Amino acid sequence: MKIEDLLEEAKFYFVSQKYDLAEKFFKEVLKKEPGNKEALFNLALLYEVTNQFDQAKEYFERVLQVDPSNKEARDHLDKLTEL
Amino acid sequence: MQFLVIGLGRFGKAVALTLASKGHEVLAIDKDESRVTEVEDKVSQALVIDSTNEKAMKSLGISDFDYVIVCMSSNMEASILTTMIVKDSGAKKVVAKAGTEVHAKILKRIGVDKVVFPEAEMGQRVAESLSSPKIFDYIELSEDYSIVEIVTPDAFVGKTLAEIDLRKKYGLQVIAIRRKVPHLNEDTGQVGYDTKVVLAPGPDQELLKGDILVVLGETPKIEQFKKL
Repeated sequence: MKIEDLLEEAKFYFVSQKYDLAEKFFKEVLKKEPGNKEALFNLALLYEVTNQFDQAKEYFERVLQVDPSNKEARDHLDKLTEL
Repeated sequence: MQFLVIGLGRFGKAVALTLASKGHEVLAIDKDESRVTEVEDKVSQALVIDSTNEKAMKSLGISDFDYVIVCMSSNMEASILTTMIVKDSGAKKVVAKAGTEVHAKILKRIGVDKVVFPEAEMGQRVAESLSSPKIFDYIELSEDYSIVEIVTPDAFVGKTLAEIDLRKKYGLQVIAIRRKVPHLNEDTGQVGYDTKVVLAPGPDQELLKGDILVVLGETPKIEQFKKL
């Protein structure tokens, strides 16, 4: 499967609240392309939605490693570390 | 320990009463007399004071308190001014509640020791309780009944309320579910989420990972449930 298709599939499962499947597909993308920003960001968001905040922080940090000026990831991370 | 609680809205009142019930010395202030009256017999002292009045605030001996808690997030200007006054009056530790992220940033800049961002704060407790259904918020309704909020334990994920049957098994009633719901932004193709509350959920309601259950029940039964 192409990366774009995997991402589409993963996002479909994410918004359908099938979190396990969504996580699996986002991770598939990362296997093919470890620095894929969209997969990293969405995975972080998925962990935030399911209250797994340590993992959420880890993945938002990874987004910032590949894209240091990503404001959205920075905002999420700030909120999660504000605790 | 000695606490000064400024602002007696819902959050401030809960903070003041909880601290007092734990045996701490609490001075609670608000500029609204009715709010002060509500707590005056439950805390060490309650006074009607406008916390943005520097002279009045300095007369309280701010530096004697171990903690000053500023709980007035809806009025950002008053919150910031109050925080500056207490910092300037030698407060040892200042905790302040923020209403928005901008508010939180400003509070940090002016040297608040801890910014409480209620949703995030709750989130941390949620995070800590992933491995067990730990209870992180608690309202005692009477001696017999309480309302608690718990993170859906992993064992309940994917099951309906009828299947877990908290009423029969634990004598508890789920009165609401708080849930983060993801959605796709059609324009950007990005996923975002909203926090929704399902009130009086029906028996067919399926529980999802990350759901917060708001549960009502007899206090001893809740205690039993906590031990699960």
